[in-house]
Amino acid sequence: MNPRVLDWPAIFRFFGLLVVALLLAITGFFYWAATHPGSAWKTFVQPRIFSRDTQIKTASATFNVTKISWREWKVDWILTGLQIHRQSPALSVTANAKLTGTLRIWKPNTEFHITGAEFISETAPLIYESPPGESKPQSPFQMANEWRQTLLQLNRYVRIDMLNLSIHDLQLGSTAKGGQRSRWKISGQKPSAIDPLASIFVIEGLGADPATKVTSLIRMDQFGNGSPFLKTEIELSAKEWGTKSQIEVGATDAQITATVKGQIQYGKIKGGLDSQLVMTQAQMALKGKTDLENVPGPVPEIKGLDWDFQVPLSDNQWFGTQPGRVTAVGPLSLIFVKKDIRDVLETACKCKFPDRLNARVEGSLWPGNIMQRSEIEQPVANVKVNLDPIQNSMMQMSLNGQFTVINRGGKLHYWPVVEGQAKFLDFQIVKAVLEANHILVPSPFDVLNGTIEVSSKTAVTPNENGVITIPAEVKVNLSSPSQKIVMNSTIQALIPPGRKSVEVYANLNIDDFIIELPPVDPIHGLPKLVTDSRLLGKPAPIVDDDFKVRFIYDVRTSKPGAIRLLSKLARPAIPVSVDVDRTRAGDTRGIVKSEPFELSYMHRTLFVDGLRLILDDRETADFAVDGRLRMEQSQYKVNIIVSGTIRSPLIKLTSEPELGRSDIISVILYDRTSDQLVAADRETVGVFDSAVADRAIGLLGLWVFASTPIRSFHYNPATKVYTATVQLAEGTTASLGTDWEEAAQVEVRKRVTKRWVLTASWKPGTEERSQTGKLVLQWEKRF
Amino acid sequence: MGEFRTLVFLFIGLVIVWSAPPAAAERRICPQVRIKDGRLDLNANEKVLVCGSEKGSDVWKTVPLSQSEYHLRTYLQNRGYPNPTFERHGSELWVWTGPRLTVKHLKAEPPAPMLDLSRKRLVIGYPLASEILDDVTNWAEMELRSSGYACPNVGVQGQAWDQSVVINARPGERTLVRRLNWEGREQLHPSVLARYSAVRMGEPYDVRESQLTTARLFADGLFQSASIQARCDGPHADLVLKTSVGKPRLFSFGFGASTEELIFIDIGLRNSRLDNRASSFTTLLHASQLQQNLSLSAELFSFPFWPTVFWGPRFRVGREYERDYEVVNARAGADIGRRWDQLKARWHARGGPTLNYVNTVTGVGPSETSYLNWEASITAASHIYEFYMRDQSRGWLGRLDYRGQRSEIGSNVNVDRFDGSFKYLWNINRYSPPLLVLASRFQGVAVNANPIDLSTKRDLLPVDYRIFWGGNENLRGFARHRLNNGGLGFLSGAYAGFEFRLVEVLPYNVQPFLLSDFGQLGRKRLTLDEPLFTSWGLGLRWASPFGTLRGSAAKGEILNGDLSTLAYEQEWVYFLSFGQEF
Repeated sequence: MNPRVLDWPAIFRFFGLLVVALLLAITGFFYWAATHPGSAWKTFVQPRIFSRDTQIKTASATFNVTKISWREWKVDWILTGLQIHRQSPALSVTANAKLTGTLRIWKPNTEFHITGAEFISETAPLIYESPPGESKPQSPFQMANEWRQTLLQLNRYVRIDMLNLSIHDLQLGSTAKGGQRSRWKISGQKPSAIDPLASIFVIEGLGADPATKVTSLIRMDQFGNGSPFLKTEIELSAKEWGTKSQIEVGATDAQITATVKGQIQYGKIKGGLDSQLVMTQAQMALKGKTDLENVPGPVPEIKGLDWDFQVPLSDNQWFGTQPGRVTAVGPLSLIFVKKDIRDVLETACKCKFPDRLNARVEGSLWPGNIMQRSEIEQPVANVKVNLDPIQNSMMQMSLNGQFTVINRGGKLHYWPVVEGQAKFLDFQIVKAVLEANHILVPSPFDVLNGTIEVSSKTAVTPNENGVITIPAEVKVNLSSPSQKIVMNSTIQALIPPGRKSVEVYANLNIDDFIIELPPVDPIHGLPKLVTDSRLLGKPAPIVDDDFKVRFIYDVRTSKPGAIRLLSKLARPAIPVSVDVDRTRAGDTRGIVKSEPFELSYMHRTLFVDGLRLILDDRETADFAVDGRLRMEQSQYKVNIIVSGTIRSPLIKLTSEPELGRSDIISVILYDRTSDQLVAADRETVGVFDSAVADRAIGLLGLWVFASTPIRSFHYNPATKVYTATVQLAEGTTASLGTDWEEAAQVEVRKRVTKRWVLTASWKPGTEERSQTGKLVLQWEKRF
Repeated sequence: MGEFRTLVFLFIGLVIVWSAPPAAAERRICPQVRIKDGRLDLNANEKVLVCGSEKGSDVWKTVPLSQSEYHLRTYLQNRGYPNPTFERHGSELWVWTGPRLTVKHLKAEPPAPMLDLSRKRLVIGYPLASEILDDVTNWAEMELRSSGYACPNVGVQGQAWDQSVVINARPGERTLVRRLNWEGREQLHPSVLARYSAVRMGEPYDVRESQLTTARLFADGLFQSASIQARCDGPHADLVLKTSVGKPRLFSFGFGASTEELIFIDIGLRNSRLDNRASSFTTLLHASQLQQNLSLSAELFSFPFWPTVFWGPRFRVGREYERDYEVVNARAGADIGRRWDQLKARWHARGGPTLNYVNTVTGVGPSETSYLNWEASITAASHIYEFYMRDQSRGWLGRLDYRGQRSEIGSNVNVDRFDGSFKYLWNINRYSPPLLVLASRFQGVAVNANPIDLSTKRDLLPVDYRIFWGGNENLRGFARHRLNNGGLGFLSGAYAGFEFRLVEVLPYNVQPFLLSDFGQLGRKRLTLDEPLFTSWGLGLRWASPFGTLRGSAAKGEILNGDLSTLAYEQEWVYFLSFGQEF
């Protein structure tokens, strides 16, 4: 039998007929489509572009196709009153459209040459909502490149000579965003007046905040060769910020480049930006230079800050998990709070302060985490800031910081940590500066010299309760030939939400506090250090809105008697120990106590074995006091036990050998028991005893009277005011108190010497004698 | 009268000149501080803080100008200069004190009806300074404590914006004195307190009465310390008197001068605690050019049921020289007396027989006589008078004396002498401190002797029963005892005297006054003769730290004079006294 032999001619005939039939069908189809564009549109195009619920109608539609050659047709397409509506996702178009062009197939290349295109939508908003859908993650390069490819394709097959686009109200939204739409006004022309080869588009936001206007020039003829094909000017203007920037974008297959130059403003802060972006598939590099002015804080001006940011890119991820590296270097102007303080400082320290300090910023940035909405904490930034230190004969100062930002649940949380140290090397220079600013450094502190160190490392960021905590440490080491101050303190300032108050917690530890008291004479009374609080200069202000500062402190001496107050009256000094707290509730509690010392005045010595002031919760500052004092008179030793309060001390007197209370007072005042006193002095003792019993004489008064010979003493129990005359050296006397008591007696006595007293008296008339007045110098002895 | 008017005008002129403020001048209070206007007096301690001090170490030799400025500002503001200005010129601080703020209003917030603010002087128009606030505080406390509020709480503040002083008084409850406990009386009987205490149970508390009580305890010499403390318990005030009793015996020796005797010597011995009821014994030897006498007296509280009643034996012997007579006399007697408080007054009464011996060496009177007479007196002084005695601005004082003898009982005459006097001090408008005080005193003396006539038997009448007027105690326009009826003395007399005194206006508490006296005397018993003796004049009172100095210049005039008055000179008479009051 013979192998089957293929009938090739029949096969060729079959396929040839098939091809002819197909060609005829295709030709017929195109012919039908050309002659019935509406039907062809409705049957074949619309169902593929629009969903079934989309309604399209036109007032009139004209589609003319004119054959120029077998592969070139002229197309005229006019749609008047075009209306496209869809419910969801929302789509609404009301426009007039025109298209005139030439479609060429094949040689030399397939191209749709649009000689004129027009799309006008001005009678009703044009609404478009994108359907929800899963977008495939992309890197920035991928996203940009996709757009680039689309444009590239379009640029390959479409050439537009003239374009007139006007949409007066374009509303864009997304069903995923719940119907929120942005509104824009778009216009586009080609050729543009600026560049006949470029298209110009102007996009303006309608009712938007910030007010937005984007003007773009597109040179599609330069698309793909790396030269900037897109030049855009963006203007954004909001209530508190705005920018006007020029962006140029160029692209090749391997990279996308852009430059951004412009001005930005945020509040009072103004800045200029000049940056370049180079993005490849593997990396995005952004660098530039920035100038800022009116920056709040210690550095209000930043000029010439060079910065550089590089971050690796990975396909199919927005920015990936790898952080980018950010660096910035720039000089910061050194600005002083008060303009003239620089001159004062430089004059005081005889040195120069720099005009600028170099700042360096280095760290990592995760741009991809900025917009994340994950509940898992995502790092966003971690940078360090270093500032050049200041060093001169007056001070050493350094300032560094670290800034950490994380994203948690779509919210950015930041932790700036500032670390600063300042050491003032010469207190006298500091004093000169303070005094130049009318800040008083009083005696005896003005003669001290030494160092003051302040250091702080803090996260200047609110905690979960919104409270900002700023800690600091202060070390003071000052001295003069006879004085010394060595103290350490740790301070925490807490600023609560609202920032209308601050609480300062301070722990002060005193190692040495030796100062000289002013050489005052106790006879003349303690001078007032503050204005009489009863004298009011103006009505008390309503302080609700004022910034409040509350101090909570804890003051301690590190050893007994660390505080020593030097005075010629005290030998060797008045040693004081302190352990005082002021609580958050405003209570002051603690103890101030003296160690043993002697007080000498007018050749009399009072031994203070111990004196304690007990601070408790009292509004009047009339705190409890207890203590023990001793006087060693010529024949008796007197113990004075003090209790009660500062203003009303309760004094208990005992003696060795034992005496009654009046005799003890007599010994204190006159170094003699009362039987050895003249009547005037006995009376003084009695009145003095009354004043002490009434707690009208304080400790200072008791000491003064114990130290000085008393000439006279008057006491008014109603007002608890006493007046006295005391004998000083050189035969002079001094009066204490402000008024003479209205004595109910008719006799006034003045002691002249120990035993002799001058008495002025008036006697009413008797049977024998009428009233007489007389002056008698009298000697008395009681037994 | 013309001379009087001239003196008054001169006096007013002096007051005006004296009160004029001194002209402002630049002053330097230390090398670095210059006061350009006004005046600022700093005490030594204030100067240390402003100027530094040469005493002590180098630390305080100088102080920074800013410190000087700070302290000066404090001192000036406390003194009523709220807005001083300062300028620095090199190493100097120049100070302008600025205008001194004066008080324009005195008010109480909340209103305090118990404080009559219209009575408070020396506030409005005075500098708004700490002193004023202290003064107002003391005044308010005193007013409240004197009105029954034993435990008041007084706050005062000065407001610069409306130049007012505002009193915030919380008087508490008005209290009645519930009890007075006495601590420290040692062996003394509790009834001793009764004769000193001005405080009455159940009556509203008054701090002045407490003070009077303690002052009386001191004055007696029995106690060497005394104080009363008040404790409030709702509407009650419980008082606690704390005393300490002193050594009972006192020996004194002194020499001095008085308005009457010039130089004198006193030697005394007193025992103020003879028993547990504080009976006392006093002896005094007094010697001067005009008088020499020895007196012995006692007050014996021996009546158990009447603790304020005493038995007072007394003895006195002495010699007296006066212008019109010289006598040697001796007296011995015993009184029953009592001291007590009632009707807000202090009462003192005593009476009893006295055996007298009188030898009139020169002058009209019996050359040598002994007689028994009876003497009684009752004195009352309001508590207010007693409290403000040094002030002499308010209250009243009255006294009645009787002295008599009967021929049937150791005397050769029948004679009675009645003396009555009353003094009233009126603080016009009750200002505090007083502004004007109108002091008035009235005196009446009647000697009833029968039968004594003018010239024949007047010498039978002891000099004690004859009236000699003129002098600082009555008619100030006439010299002391100048109105003497030719040396015989008068038998009747009526007197009224007035002083109109200006208080707390002139510096140094000098108080000028205008005076006038009116008196009539009678040569016969219970009869006043027609001549009216008057005095007009002015004077000065100064409450010095040592006692009251008074000086007066008065012109005596006799109206309706007759032959008997021809001997009396109508002239200007000047008195200067020490310790003596109107």
